[in-house]
This record gives sequence, C-alpha cells and structure tokens, in this order.
Amino acid sequence: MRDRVQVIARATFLEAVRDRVLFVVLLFAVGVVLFSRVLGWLSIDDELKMVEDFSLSGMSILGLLLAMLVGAFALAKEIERRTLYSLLSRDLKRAEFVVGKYFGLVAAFWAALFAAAVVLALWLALWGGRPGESYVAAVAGLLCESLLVTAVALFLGALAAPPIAAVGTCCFVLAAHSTEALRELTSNGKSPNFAAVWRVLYHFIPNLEDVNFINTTGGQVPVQWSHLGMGAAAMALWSAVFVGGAVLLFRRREV
Amino acid sequence: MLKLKVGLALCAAAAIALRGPLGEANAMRRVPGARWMPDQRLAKLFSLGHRSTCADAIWLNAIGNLSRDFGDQTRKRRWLDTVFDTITRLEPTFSNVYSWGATYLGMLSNDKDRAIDLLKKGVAANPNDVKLQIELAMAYFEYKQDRAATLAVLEKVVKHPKCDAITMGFYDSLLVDERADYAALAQMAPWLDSPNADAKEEAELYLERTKKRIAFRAWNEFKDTRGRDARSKDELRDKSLMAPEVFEPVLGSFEIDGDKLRFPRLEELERKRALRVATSWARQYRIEHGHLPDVEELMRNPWTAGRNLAPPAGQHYVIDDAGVRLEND
Repeated sequence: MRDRVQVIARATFLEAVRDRVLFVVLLFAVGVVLFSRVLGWLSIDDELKMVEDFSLSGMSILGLLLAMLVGAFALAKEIERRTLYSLLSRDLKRAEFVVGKYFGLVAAFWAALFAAAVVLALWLALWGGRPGESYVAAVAGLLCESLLVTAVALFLGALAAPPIAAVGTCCFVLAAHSTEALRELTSNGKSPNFAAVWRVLYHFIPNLEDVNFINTTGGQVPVQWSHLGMGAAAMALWSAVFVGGAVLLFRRREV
Repeated sequence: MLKLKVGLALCAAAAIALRGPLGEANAMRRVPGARWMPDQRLAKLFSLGHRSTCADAIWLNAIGNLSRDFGDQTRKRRWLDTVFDTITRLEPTFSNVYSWGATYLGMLSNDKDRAIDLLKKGVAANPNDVKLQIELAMAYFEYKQDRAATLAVLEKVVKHPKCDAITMGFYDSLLVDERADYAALAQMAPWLDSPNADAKEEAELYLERTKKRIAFRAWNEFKDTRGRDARSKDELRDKSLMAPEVFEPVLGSFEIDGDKLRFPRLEELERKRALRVATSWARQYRIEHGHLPDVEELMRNPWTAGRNLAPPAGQHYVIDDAGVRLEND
C-alpha cells in the first residue's frame, strides 16, 4: 500500500511541478518578495521589517492560491482526463489514490514555499538583514498552514465542483484566520449569547493562527517553539480529518 | 477584424481621455482631513491573520499624513489616536510606532501626556526593548521634569547589558547634586559632535537653555541666602549653593548686566531656530497650497506657538525659495 501511495504522490508532485499555474503563482510570490523592498524604502527605520512582513504575507497567499488553483482541481482533473479510470481498474484503492494525491500536492506546495523562502532569505541578506529563528518559525508555520489548507482543498474538491471548492478553500482560510480575533471581540461582554455560542464553535473550527508566526518576526519576542510544535500537531490532526473526509466522499462518488 | 481593432482603439482612447476628469475628481477626495481609518476594535478581524503586514500598511500610509494639516485639530487628534491604537493592537511589538508616535505627539503636537502614555503602553508590551524604556525615561525628564520617574525607569535600564554609555552617563549625572540640571547638560553633550549642522545647532540650543535654567537657579539661590543680587560670576561660584561640576560649564553662557542676567548666545540660537521652524513651515505650506505664504500669513500660523516673533528693530522677514530669513530694512 505504501508503495502505491508513494507512486501516486511522486506522479502528482511531478505533474504539479510541470504545471504552469505553480510557476506563475511562484513567480507572483517572488515578485512580491522583490517588490517589498520598495515599501521598505517608504518606511522610517523599519525597512527590513517591511520586506519581511510583506514577503511572508505574500508567501501565505502563495500557499492559499496553490491550494485553490491546483489542490481544489486535482481530483476533478483526473476524472476529466480519464486517467483515474485506468488507475482504479488496477489494484489501487480510492483511499490510496486520495492520500497519494494529498502527499504529492503537499510536497509540490512545500517546494514552492521553500523556494520563495530561500529567495526571501537571500534578499534579506543582500540588504544586510539576518534571518533568525523567528524567520525560520514563520516559514515553518507557513508550511504547517499549507498542510491543512491543501487537505481542505482536496476535501472540498471531492465534495463539490472545483470552482466552488476553490472559493470554499479561500473562505475556510479567511475564517480559520479570524477565529482568534472573533474570540477576542466577543469577550467584551456586549453580546453574551453570541460569545457563548462562539466559545463552543471555537473548538470545532481549525485555528490557523496557531501556526501563524509571521507577526512575531519584527519584535524582540523569543520564538515559542513548543507553541509552534503544538500548532503543527494540531494542523497535522486536522489535515488527517479532512483527508479522511475526502477519502470517504471520494469512495461514494460515482466515477 | 478591422472593426474589432477600431473598437478596441476607441475604447482605449476613451479610457485615456477619461483620465483627466477622473484625476480632477480624485483630487477632491484628496482634500486634507479625508483620512479614513477602520474601527480599531475590528482591525484584527479585518487583517485576516496578516496583522503585522496590515500594521505596516497602515503605518506607511500614516507616515505621509503625520505632518499634514487636517484643518481641524480635533479631527487630527482623533485620527492620530485611531492610527496609533490600531497599529499597536495589530502588532504590539512594533516599537518604532511607539517611538515615532511619542516623538510626534510630544514635540510637534505638544501633547506630552499622550506621548508618555503611548511610550508606557509600548514598554508594557515590549519589556525587553531597552530603546523604548530609555525614550520613556527621557520623556519623563523632558516633558514632565519628573526626576523621580526618570530615575525609576533608568534604574532598570542601566542594569541591562544592551544599555548604551550615554544613558549610563545620563543616569549617573541625574544623581549628582540630587537635581536634574547636570543630567540635562550631559544629555545634550554628545549631540554637539553631530555631523548634521541642524542637529548640532539644535543640541546647542537645548544646552544653552539648560545653562540658563542653572544660571537662574544659582542667581536666585544666592539672592535668597545673601539677601542681595550677585555682583560677579565669582560670587556665584559658592560650593554651598551648587556643585562645581554643575555650575562651571554654565559660567561662559551669561553676563551680569546690573540686576539682570543676559544670555547673548542663547538669544542668537533662539532666533536661528525660529527661522528654521518658519522655513520648514513655509515649505510645507508651499507643498499644500502651491505657493509660498506671505509674511502676514507666516506670523498668523501655528509655527509661532504663541511666541512673539516680531522681527528685531530695523529688520524684516523675507520669504523665498531658500526659506525664511531676516534682512535689514
């Protein structure tokens, strides 16, 4: 089983790498990284902070765009091109296919994020910056975020038409980044009923802020690696839930 | 095909033609005071996880508007409050916002209490930021003349390994004579070596102002203890009145003119500074109005800060591209 998943993952990775969408999106991210220097010049004293913040945000958007444009379309593409039929007619289970797809997509997205991170690190070094542990934590957080967002894109891709899945993935990311802010907003005691509902809902919505370390790169706050570790574990668990859901949905799907 | 090409060319031409009227319409939107900021309580929600980047974007937008005349001080004050509150909510570790914000509030907006409050907030959010703590100490010292509060902040700062030599020297000098005079002298001394002529002159001005304060204290204390005015500088050199390290640097800055003290160098520096501030204000005025102000306009505006800046007898103000200067009648 492991071999079959590996084969699918490798094929998905190679296919994604050959896909022009990945390069266009990566090019966009690298463009944001290079352009962020201009914003740095507009600032006072915080030139490299601006470069780092805007670039890391650009990389976060890169992860989201890849999940939306590649991840959400992955399963539908296989059905549309009829490659799925030849695969399933052999000794390949649907679950193996979905899991292999997931790992292949994650590997491709991680490669793109890693490439953007290397470009940013070199860019920062060129201007006299020294990417430290907070930078490593921010990039690691983005990789963890990509883990979950890809799983959600795949899940929604198995559930609905690809454009709807892409929009749904975007909505998920926006909601999952807002859980913390909503909790803070509702804790002021002004609407106790909504606060009570939200306190319960809060535990059932994945919180991408758990691995968002972009906001700590500028300050002198030391990185809380245990926090990142727990966040990564949470992302892995949620990803397992969504990939499992995708498997269940794909098993029921008539192809 | 030709029709399509012609159609496309027409569309492009029409779009370009609209640039002019649209530019004028947009100019109306750029009127001073029309600066919108989102509700700071919702800022985190709107930032969608990109708090730091949103804080940067708001700060970049705010930098350009800090010195802008909003036409209404209350409106500008409200806008400033929202800007600083929003940014520091989004990114409490953005220390330069506290620092620049406090400098703006304290020096340009003359709102010293709010400057101190902003720095206090910054120190609370960034307990390891030595620079912010030093700025808070200096704000207490400069804006409030509160020696005790300054010492309370600096006591912790000087123990920090990142504390600089100037701050340590300043802290030590605050302890001399149990007064702040000597510290004020020590604080400005390093700036006298600045390669920037304006910064150097500004430092000298503050130094001379401090010397004036010390000279008057010595003069008044002499009068209180002896029951008469001092007749010479030597009489003021009484160790029982003031420590020599405080008084000696001050001796050259004043002259005793009967029952009065005169400060010729300070007066000269104050005049130069007034012209510098007026020049800067006139340049800003030209950017905003497209032409230089006239003298009447110059004397009516906030740069004068209520001071009597009538030109000396036999002289008048001249405003041109080089700035504001005094010329003989």
